[in-house]
Amino acid sequence: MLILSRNKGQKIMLNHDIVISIVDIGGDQVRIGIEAPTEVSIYREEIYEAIQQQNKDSIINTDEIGQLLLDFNLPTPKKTQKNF
Amino acid sequence: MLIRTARFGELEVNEQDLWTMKNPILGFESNRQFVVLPQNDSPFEYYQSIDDEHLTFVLADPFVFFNDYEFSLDQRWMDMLQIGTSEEVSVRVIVTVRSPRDISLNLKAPLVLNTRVKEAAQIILDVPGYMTRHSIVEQPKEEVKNADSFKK
Repeated sequence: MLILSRNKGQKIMLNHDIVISIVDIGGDQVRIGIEAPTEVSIYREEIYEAIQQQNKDSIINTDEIGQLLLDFNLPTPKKTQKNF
Repeated sequence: MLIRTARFGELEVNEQDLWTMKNPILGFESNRQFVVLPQNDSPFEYYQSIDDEHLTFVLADPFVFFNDYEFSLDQRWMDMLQIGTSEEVSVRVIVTVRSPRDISLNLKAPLVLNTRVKEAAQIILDVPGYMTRHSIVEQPKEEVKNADSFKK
């Protein structure tokens, strides 16, 4: 792992086409700007980990699961009850 | 071409039926090609990896279960998936089955599909209302009082 220090306003380049900017620093929080090509995905690490884990938990590894879904009775569609 | 699958044995699939993940299913970055195996009269379909016979997901059309599910698709996904018109777009979510009473949809990280070019991406919604587990099983009503309520 490369460790380096930057001051507010300074930048880091990855390869030739990814630029990380230190936009603001305040207390324990740093605001980071990232410019990257479309094909580069950028994730908050804890979100990436949560989605990855959920994906792994979803792999169908028994025939019973398939049968269970075949037998599934469709409910009436629900609202997602979003909290905004 | 013939592919091996752990769940379905050997399957004959056509090149034109192959789906390519332009943004991978997170955690499965090296599995880029899948085939969709629909089930008759079912809102569920299997998503089977071409190169890993043990990698099978179940996808669901989220709108069948949550008819107010919605999100904006960022331009970068439209560019990545070459989406030109809304007719080309399909949305699917990964189903998690833990038990017959615990079946949920991942509304936080749906798959966006371009049905014209058969390219797909798992995207993460930066919206607070959707989680990785939204149950689709009717919850039984509470019938029995908590035993603690009888204690002095």
